[in-house]
Amino acid sequence: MDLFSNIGLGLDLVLNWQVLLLIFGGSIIGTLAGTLPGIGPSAGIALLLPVALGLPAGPALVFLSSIYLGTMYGGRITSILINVPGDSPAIVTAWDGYPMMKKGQGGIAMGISAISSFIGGLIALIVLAVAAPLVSQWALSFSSPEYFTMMLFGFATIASLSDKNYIKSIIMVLFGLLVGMVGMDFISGFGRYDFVPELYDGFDFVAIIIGLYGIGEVLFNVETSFKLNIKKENVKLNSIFPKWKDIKKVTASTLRGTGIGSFIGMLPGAGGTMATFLSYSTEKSVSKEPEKFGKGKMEGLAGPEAANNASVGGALMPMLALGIPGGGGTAVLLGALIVFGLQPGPRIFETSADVVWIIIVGLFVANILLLFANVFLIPFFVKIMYYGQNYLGPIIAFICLVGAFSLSYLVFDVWVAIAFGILGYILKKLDYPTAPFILAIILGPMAEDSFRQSMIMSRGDYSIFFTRPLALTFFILAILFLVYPVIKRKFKSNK
Amino acid sequence: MKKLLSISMFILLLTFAVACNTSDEESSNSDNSDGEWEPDGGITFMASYAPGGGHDTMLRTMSSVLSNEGIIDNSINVINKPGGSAAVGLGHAASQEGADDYIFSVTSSYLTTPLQGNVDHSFEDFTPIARLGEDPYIVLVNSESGISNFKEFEEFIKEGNATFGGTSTGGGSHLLALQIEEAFGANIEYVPFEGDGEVVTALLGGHIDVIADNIHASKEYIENGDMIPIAVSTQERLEEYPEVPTLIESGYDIEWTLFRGIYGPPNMPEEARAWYEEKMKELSENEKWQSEYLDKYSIKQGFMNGSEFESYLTELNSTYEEHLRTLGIIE
Repeated sequence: MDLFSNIGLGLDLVLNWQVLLLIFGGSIIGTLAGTLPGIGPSAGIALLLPVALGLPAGPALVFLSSIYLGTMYGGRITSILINVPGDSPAIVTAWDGYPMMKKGQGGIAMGISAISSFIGGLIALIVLAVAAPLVSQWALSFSSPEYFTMMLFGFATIASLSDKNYIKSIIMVLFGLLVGMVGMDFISGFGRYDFVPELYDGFDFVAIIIGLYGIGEVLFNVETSFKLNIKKENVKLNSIFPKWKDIKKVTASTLRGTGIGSFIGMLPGAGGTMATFLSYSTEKSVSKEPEKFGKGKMEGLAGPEAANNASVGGALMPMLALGIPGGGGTAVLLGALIVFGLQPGPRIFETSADVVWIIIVGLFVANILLLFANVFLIPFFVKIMYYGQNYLGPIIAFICLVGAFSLSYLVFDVWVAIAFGILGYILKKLDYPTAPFILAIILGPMAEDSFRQSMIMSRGDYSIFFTRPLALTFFILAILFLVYPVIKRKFKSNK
Repeated sequence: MKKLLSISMFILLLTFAVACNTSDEESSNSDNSDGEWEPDGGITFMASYAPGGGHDTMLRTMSSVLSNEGIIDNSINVINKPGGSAAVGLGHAASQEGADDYIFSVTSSYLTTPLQGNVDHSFEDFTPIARLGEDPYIVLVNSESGISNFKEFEEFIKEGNATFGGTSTGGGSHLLALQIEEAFGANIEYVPFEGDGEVVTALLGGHIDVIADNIHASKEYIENGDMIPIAVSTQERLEEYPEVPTLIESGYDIEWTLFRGIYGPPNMPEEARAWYEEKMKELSENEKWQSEYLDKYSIKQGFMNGSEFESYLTELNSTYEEHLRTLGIIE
């Protein structure tokens, strides 16, 4: 297998105007779909699947994967502009992106995040091109015990996310576990707290985040007059693009995020979301000014954004090489592959080389197009915000409610969003952190399932978590992450 | 600038309008000029398992054959509601009561999950449409496990230390595992996973010892040598794998296949039910369907219309109930 001839093959297929047009169209549609909360990658791809079915396999899959990549770019826009993450990997983007927006640096936040997304996406694609069959073996070495200790590691990072009040964080973690527990437990097949049929599946996670962040923010701002700090001079072009020194400042964060995204993004389940959370807590831990995180710190925006887009390349590896979807978006893509009669698996790189390489090279091109499109869109979005800032409350509330409804066309999800919106308001008023809550909802059920699967595998022997190298590694990392803030504080006070 | 703003508002409103339209479909069906009933707008196919699994593959192939061969002109959307051994999917289907634009795939879990009393619905609550085929199980081990034939497999199982992976608790593969456990007289630890993809990965990574799966989910790995087929659960050997023995000829009286069929939500209007049944019959006679689904996934043709399917299930249900009772899963 020759890498260059493969890339040549891909380039040859991509470089004709029809395919390029499909990539461009897919990227733009993806960006728009990602911008609307509740649509996100899986619904975005699924909505356009019927259109793609009329095309030959290669171009159709390039089109669909461009949409996927586009939603990753689009998801960050509403996170930054109005604090409404469109999908779970975009939650972290709101933590520092929205405060930057409020400081009048929305354009810079969008620019920085576009560039980090671009770098993260590009490097992960190179990894995918060079090492997909090899690296995807990494995903195979993961099983229930590894997942469990990785979830423990995830919980440990909560400690570094919450620096103010540990008791409040713990309360929020427990509350998140409770919410995450609702629904059917597939290991026993029994339902928990599923009083209505809509809850068999548990709460829709996106409805929760739309409510918690979007509606919660609107309610909170009703008290004060809700105005963003956008002045006339902020709309001028030279102040809405990031400066070279800003980009240089976040290079290290971007690269760390890329590394985390490429590897963690590969893991089925919470790959992309886990990667963004891990990247954020890594940035906060290595930063010299961790207290500025959550108040508009560029590093806290760049790292997770790079991780988010790197996870696209990461998730494609196990999807192509093993037939395992890494998340909602790749699950629909996998379905599309199957509909086109391609069998994902280790041999897909030989049997359907043309399709695989048109996807990889096509995504490379889409990534470049998306960077330009997104940078040129900045003035557009900043101006929308400038003119719309007086009506922002009703507009956001409207977008949130429509978004919640469009998740599965259930009015129930609208009520879920409203309920969590009221909760979000109360939490913000009383200064309870939401990050531990969100993380516990994501990690809790996965930790529980993988713990029970491990226990069945080992017949109740706990040593299964310590005798497997990868599981042990995550276990040690978890302990390090727990101890690190304490040591750091000691070290500081000694100085 | 105002123009741009109004354009973006327009897009939002459009999304809203489309969304409303979808939810209103149930109430706005119209008869076409011939007086023959037809669904008005898009149709939803629901799979109770994750993408890449048997249900999902069947529905996605079905939707592409139905559209490409011009059997159904409506747009078809395949959705997945995985979890709870199809309990989540059944709950979702029950919530669609009376709908005429929604059908879903059913297999053994459709009987076993209600039997275990985990959901308030039984198969009798739903509307039978058609059975499309029967899917055999194949018992597989990892090629690095050192097990390469039935005799070695038998010895390994009888050591009483095997972990056996399958999808969901009380589902088809679980019942097969329990039957093997009983017939071999040795202890087997059954590990439930959420979907076929996870089970296959766990075996490939060497994290569990044995799986029983439908042929399509593991075909690729059998062909490239990562997995070794040990036995099949059919009456006779399969055409595709003539060298793989059946459990019956190896001295264990186990025959276990998975039915694959289509059901509608509770109280589906009869005209709609008849329409889907007719379309399914047309589908099962279609050559594309036979080559792209039945042959490709080693599924035996076995069309039954709605009422035949229902009486088949009624009989099978008591067999399952008996199995689950003997094995102590239900009281």
